[in-house]
Amino acid sequence: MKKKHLSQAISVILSFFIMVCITVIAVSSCLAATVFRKDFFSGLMDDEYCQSVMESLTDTLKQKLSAPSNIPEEVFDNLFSFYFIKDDIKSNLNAKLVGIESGYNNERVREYVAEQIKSYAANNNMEISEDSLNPLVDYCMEEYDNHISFIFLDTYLSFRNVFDKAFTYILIGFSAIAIFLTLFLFSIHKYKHRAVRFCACSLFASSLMIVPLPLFLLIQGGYKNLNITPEHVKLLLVEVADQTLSGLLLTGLLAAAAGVAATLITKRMRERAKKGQHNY
Amino acid sequence: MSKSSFSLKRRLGYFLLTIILSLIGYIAVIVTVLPLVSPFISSMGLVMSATDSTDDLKTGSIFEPKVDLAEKDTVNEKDIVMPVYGTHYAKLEIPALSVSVGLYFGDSSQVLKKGVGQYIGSSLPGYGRPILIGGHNNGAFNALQRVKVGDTVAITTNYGVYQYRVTGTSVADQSDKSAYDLSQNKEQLILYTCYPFNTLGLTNKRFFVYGDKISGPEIVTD
Repeated sequence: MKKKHLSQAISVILSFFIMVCITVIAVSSCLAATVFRKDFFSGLMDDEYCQSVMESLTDTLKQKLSAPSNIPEEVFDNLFSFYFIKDDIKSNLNAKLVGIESGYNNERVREYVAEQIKSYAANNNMEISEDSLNPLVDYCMEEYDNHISFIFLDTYLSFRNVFDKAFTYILIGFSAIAIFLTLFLFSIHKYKHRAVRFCACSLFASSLMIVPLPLFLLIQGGYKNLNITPEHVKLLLVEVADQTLSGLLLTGLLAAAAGVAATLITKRMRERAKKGQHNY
Repeated sequence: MSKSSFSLKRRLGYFLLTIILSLIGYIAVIVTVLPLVSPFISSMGLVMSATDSTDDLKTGSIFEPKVDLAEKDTVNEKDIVMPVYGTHYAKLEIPALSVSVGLYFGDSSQVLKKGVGQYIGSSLPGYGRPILIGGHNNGAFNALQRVKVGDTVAITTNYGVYQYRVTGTSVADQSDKSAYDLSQNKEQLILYTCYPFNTLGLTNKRFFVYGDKISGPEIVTD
């Protein structure tokens, strides 16, 4: 009886550590497949995102410049080219990913903006001089640079670099530990289905650790109330959170599914053990 | 013990084992990770809000001019309701230019959408110190381009009517501090707006209008 209790106690402890290993492997794999994936941000910065950048840029200029200056709001409509914005967003992102500060040529945008303003002035019989045009174009370009860049990119890249370096070691290390612990668990049980049952408990416990928080956040949606401007940055961050939380939820459910599979295997092995076919 | 109850007990045991393992896991995470992330969690309150954020500064009004604003030489400071930032507290009029506009305490872009705004580093009318008021040149202050020396400017507050006579104008760079002197011991009215008028573009220049006080009660303290 004592030996049985000891075996049970050791199995519980081993189950706990197997659960920890499974959780760490599952979460880090999920992060590697979602937020820390190489093309994660370039996938998010699609046409819809570029369009929201253009709208946000136009609205910002209207709010900041139109009222304080003698500039009608219509000046800022169609001031920028969607093609330039899309191109520059991608160039800037690619440059940042390889560690270059800025990857786009803003001279062509500057010329385009100046021409649009001059064209508006000419069409509406308004005076314009280089002295007043240049500060306006300078301000527009400053806002353009702010909107093309994703301000959290540097922070994200620093996290990703650390993760990239650590991920392989995490995966190999915890996998090795999990395998070792599992083999040890199997070795202390005469009937192997009991060991599989403990592994199933570990998988279910891991699922219980991973699923609740992402599920709660996805349902409650508190992360959607980020008080961040401009709007397109907020929407991008919400999308990042959405995809990451969904990935974690899926990972947790996969762990639960693996637990169910392990439970079914346990049942099958136990039946065989009962029939005396094997020491399962 | 029957076979089925034994089986149920065993199943319950493993179910409880699953719960206990996950609880121990949560405790371990809270103990090890929470001290690292709690500063981050507490700062999340700075960027999360229950409602959408807006820039909407609530600009209320305390302007209720008394019908019988008699010509008094003085008014006690304790009888005055002091405006807070963004408050509509007076009316500014330039009869020669047909200008009549609300005067606000503060000069943010939100305030300037509604009327003209007083720089809060300058004094209220009646304190015997300079008053600096700005407005958009495509709004009420567009008329300043036609102002002449000798024109009067009236500021009506809840506690008195103040009259100023225009003594001059100037054009200066927006960063040129010599265009006005807020430290002088004289109640000078300084109105300013962007310059030049009626052109497209951003300008670094400002058009200033200066006025000396003609009449209005002096604010005194006990």
